[in-house]
Amino acid sequence: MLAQQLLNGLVTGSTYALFALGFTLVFGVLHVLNLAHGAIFMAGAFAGLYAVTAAELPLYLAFLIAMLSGGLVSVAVDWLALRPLRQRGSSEFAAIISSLGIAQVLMSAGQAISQTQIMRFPFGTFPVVIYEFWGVRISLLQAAILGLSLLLAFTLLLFLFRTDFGRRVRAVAISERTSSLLGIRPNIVYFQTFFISGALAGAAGVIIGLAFNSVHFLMGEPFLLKAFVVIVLGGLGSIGGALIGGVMLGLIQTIAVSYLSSSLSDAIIYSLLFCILLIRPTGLFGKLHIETRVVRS
Amino acid sequence: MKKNLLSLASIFTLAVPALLGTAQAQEVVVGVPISSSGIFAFANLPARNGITLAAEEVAKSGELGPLKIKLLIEDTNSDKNQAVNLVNRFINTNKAVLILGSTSTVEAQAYLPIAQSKKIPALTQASGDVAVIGDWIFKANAAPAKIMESLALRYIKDYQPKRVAYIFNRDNESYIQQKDGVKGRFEQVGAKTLLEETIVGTDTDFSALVTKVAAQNIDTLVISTTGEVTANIIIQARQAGLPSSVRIVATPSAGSHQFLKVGGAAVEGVIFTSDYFIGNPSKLNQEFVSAYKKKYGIEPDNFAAIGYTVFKTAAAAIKSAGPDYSPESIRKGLAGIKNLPTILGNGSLTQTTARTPAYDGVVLTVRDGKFVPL
Repeated sequence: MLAQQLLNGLVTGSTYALFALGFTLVFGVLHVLNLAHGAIFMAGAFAGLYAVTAAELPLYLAFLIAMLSGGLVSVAVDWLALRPLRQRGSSEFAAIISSLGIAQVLMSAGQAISQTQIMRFPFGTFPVVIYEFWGVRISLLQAAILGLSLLLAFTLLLFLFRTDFGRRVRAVAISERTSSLLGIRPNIVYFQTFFISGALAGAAGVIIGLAFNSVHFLMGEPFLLKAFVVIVLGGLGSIGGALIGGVMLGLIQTIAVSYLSSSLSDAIIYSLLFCILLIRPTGLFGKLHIETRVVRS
Repeated sequence: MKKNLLSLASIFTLAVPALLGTAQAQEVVVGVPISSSGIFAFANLPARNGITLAAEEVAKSGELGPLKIKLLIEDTNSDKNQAVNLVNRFINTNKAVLILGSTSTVEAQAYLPIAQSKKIPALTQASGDVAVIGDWIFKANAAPAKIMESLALRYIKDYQPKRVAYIFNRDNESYIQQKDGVKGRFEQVGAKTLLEETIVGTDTDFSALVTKVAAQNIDTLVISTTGEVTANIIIQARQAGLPSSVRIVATPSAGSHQFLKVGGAAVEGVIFTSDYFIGNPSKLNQEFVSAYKKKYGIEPDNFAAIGYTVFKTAAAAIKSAGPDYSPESIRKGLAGIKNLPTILGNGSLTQTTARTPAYDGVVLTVRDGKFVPL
């Protein structure tokens, strides 16, 4: 059972990591916790679901539509809720509250659209195929989740560290003023950062909606809480840390359910968060993976 | 002339309010806070349909004479705070003399104490044992924990469970009671509890939990949660390798269309108990099924039947309360319900001293995507 549960933990952790990637990217660049990330994730999942159910599009197109929708909603969140505050030089706290406010607006819209119903991708949207290796069962969907999460994370890392775009993002993250003097337009960088963050959230929305058979206007809330744990575990603003933190969280949660009790798993996770904040406020991989951080510490 | 006009005006002034008063006395306001959306909608949407259908039938039949029932149905969004606000509004602003409630025990436990404190009778189909809140609170259906015991007895007779695992909602008292009802009976005959695991209503990832369950050598899995979540757990459990030989026992929440829709082929063979069976040959039931299908285009489920019974019971209580339609009089009417013909249970509903009717459930299973008697 241990091998199977480790695999389950890996898959669950991949979904947490996928969600946390966009969340930590925005934090790394803007130094702001975008509390609307859960609502953007929900918007992406809704777009993907309706693309399959209402427009009857194939899943790969629905996935792309979810990413595009998530990206656009994320950009809109920045333009409406965060950009005006940046221009006025408001505090980071104001930006957090503003993102919380727009998250409520988005969730209310999701509630109205879905009439608060729990929705699902239709049967057969993703083929149900189970493989067994040495007594461990893995479904095609689980394998796809693992593969996609890794692919998206490494694409993001390549983008940030091997392209001109990435250099501009890192420059703005270090100093908006200096990068402006060097000819970089921070607003374009913010636009691109929010779009990528939202597109990742949209992708996570479809994957998680498919994996756990549930699409709901509040689906982002529990993941947002988990994302806090992930980025604290991995180190605030660290892309690699989010990946490792997500997988660690998934494994810890799964092992807690498997060998202790399902009632205790949340208590264990949040106790861990508390301990890490006390002992290593920069996260477990804050120093170890400093080279992968978007923000220079 | 002026004097006559003044007299006429005086008579008119006195008579109109009296006439209006009579007209007002011929209308009673009934508030229905019901979760037509959200996590409890799977049960409350059909329940709302049942209530609406029964209200139309009662109005059409003229059985209440000139009296009209003004039914205020409002959505709680499966939010107990919204349910509390609605009940306060029904009682304080709309002057409701009766509250008919949601199937959700979580919501009922929040708003029923308001009805009790304001001395407004409430007739609820909440699954939990909520009549204990006070003497103004009545249930329209048997407590599921009780009918789950009857399911357990039938299951013991047919399948003799030996090794059992339980998964239940820890944030809903009713589902804990329903699990306990089965567990108590199973343990009395020596069935071993190998695993007892909890979830919360908003959980969606059960992969670790069901892998743990699948690794146990169990013959029976009891799942006590909402219909949609039950279906989701079963899908994930079968994918995690839960052998098809393991029988799954569920609560009356499985008796909903949403359960079949979400679960698809994975929920074939699930055994559960229900207050209602669509195939009941009584004339009352056949007429109900026909009217429901005609109005909504689908077959009624357990919750539609319970909703229908709630309003029929309320109408009978209001009728017996007449001509005094005060809350106190309606409360007495509810307490005096005896041998009311019904489509639930054994076909006759009598309020017990615990303000909860008692009857055995019908044990059903899913076969070819339909509910059939076991």
